[in-house]
Amino acid sequence: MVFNTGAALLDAIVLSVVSKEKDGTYGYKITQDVRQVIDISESTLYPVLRRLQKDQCLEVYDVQFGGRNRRYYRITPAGLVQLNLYRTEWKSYSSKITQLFEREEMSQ
Amino acid sequence: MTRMEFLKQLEYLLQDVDEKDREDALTYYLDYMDAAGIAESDSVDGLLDAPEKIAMTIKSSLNGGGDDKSEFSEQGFTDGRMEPESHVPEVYGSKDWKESKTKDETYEEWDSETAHSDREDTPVNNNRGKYIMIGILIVLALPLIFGAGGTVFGVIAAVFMCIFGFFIGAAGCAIGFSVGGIALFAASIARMVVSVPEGILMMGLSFIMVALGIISVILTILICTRLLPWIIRGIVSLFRRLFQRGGTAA
Repeated sequence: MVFNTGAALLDAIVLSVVSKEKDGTYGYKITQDVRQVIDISESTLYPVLRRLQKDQCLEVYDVQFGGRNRRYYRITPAGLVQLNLYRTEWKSYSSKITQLFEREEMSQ
Repeated sequence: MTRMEFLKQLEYLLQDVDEKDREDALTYYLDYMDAAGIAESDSVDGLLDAPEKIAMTIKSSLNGGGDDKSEFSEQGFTDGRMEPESHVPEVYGSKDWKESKTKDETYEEWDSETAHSDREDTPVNNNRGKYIMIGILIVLALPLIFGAGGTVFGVIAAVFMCIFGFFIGAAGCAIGFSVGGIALFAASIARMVVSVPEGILMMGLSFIMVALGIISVILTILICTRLLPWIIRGIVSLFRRLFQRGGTAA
């Protein structure tokens, strides 16, 4: 991957992935889903989840699974607001850059 | 590394972290491995990052998460203060760039690059320091070198003098016994006129002296022809070995 995925974009991707699951999702599944889009290691994702949880964008709850509790993540209303902000920002940011690149292609 | 070893190691590495944070991280990884279908005795190699990297990421995120210069990215948590100066990826896009590179490889590559540039900053100073240190050492070692040299010289001189002493002694004995023996023989013939038994006794003594003289002459000759060359050869080869070793070492 040529472009670094910064903290904000990573937050946005994780929030988006978690928001897709209405009933919440768990660490391993989040990692797999995020990996569909960007190459990322689980050691990077864990602190992101922690941070989003601390910022109250995500909430955590335990679900009985196979005899023991499994930790699930679910997006909060605050998280949804944050995600919408990221979506709007991304749209404007990416379209500007796309326009710039396409203009260059035209002039060549 | 098995799952059990991994958890043990991670717990150990996070022992200086707040208990709640540590429990949280361990629960997360326990869940993760359960979900990934990694059993107790299964190997986690290639499936999870090294516990050291995970612990480092967690600690950095706990300490300096709000810092402007540090950020999370898919490369992991990066601290701006530790970053190489340029962010321009020179090899990206070129033929050399391998898209298939795993995260760990780039991580290590970054690591070795910074380590290398750190090393490059110091060689001039290092060399100068080395020369100064060698100079000081030589000055400090001068008395020792002279002392050691003096001792070696003294020992060699003593060996020479000793052999020379033997030689003088043997030569002296040879001359003394021979001359004495011949003189006593002459005297014994004169004594024979006065008293035959006394003359015979003196003659016998003179023969013994001549015999001792002959032994001394042989000894002297042996010292000159055998012992001296052997000693000299030994000393020469000793010095040659010393200098050759010094030559190869330098």
